[in-house]
Amino acid sequence: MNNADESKLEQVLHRELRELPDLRAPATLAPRVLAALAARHRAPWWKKSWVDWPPGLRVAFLSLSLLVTGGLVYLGLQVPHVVGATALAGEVSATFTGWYASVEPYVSFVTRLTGALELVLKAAPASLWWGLAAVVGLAYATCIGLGTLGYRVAFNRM
Amino acid sequence: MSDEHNFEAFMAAYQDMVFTTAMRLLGNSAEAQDISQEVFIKAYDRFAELSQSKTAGGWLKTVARNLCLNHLTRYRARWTFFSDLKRDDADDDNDFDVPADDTQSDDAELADKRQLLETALQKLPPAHRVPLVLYHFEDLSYEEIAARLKLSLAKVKTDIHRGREALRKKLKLDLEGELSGTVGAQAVRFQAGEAQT
Repeated sequence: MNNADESKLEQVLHRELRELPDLRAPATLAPRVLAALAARHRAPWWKKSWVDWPPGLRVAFLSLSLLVTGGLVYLGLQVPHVVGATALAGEVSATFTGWYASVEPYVSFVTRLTGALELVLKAAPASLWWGLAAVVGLAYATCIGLGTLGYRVAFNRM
Repeated sequence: MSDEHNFEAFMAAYQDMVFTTAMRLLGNSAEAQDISQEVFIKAYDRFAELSQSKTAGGWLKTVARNLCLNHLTRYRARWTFFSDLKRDDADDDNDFDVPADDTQSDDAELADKRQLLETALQKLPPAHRVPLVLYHFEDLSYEEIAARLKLSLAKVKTDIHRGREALRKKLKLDLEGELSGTVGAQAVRFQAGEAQT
C-alpha cells in the first residue's frame, strides 16, 4: 500500500469509526454503581479515607498525632541530658559489640567464600562465561516457547 | 428531586458513552464495566461540581480513558507479549448491543455494517487496537499516543497501520471507488458475507 492509499484508508476508516454509535451499557452497570456507593456509605468511618472522617474526629486525630509526634521529639532531645552523652555512647557501643560478636562467625564465612569465588572468577576462561550465557539464553527461550505453546493450547489458538 | 435521583439520571445520560470508551480501549466487557463503575464513583465524589458543569461529559471521558490506560499499562507485559499471537477465534464475552437505528432496510444494512466494524475493532489485538482507538476516537496525535503508552513514535505508527490493515482485510474494505474518485458516498463497501467468515 502506497502513501496515498494509506492516507485514504486513514480517512475512510476515521469517518466510519467516528460514525459508530455508542455501545449500550449493560443494564447491570447502574445498579452495580449504586450498590458500590451504598456499601461505601454503610462502611464505618474508620474504614473510609481520612478526608471522609467526621470533622470532629479529624481534628482530634490531627491534634493527637501532633501531640504524640511532639512528645516523641521532646523525649528524643531529652534522653542525652538525662542519661549523659558519654554513658549513652558506652551503652550503644557495648550493645553493638555484643551483637556483632554473635554474627561474627557468619561474617567471616561470607568473607572467605567471597574471596574464594573471586579467585575462581579470575581463573575461569572467557569461554566458560559464553557457555553459561548460552545456557541461560536457551533456558529462557525454552520457557518462552513452552509458555507460548501452553497459551495456544489452553486458549485453542494454534 | 434528591441527589440520589439526580445522580441516577446523570449516570443514565452518560453510561453508554463511558462504557463505550472503556469497551473500545479494553476490548473486554467485564473490565469495561469495572472501569465504568470506578469512573462513576469518582464522579459521585465530585457530583456537586459536575452536575452544574457543561463539560461533565468530557471529564467523564477523560477519566475513563486515563483509568483504562492505567489498567492497560499495569498489564502491559502481558498484552504486548501476546499481541503478536494470531487471534482468529471469536471472543464471546462482548455482551453489549449495538443499537439499531431504524427499521428501514437501508438503516438495517447500515446497522449491520456498524456491527461488523465494531466487532472487528474489538477483535484486534490490544497492541493494535489501543493506539488505533486513541487516534481515531480520542483524537490524540501519534506523539501523544507514544508518550502516553511509553512507546516509540515508530512503533505507534506501525501498530496503527497494522490495525487499519487488519480492519481493512477483515471487512474487505473496498477503497477503489474512493481512490479513483468515481464512486460517491457509498464507495466504501463492506462485503458482510465475506467479512463474517
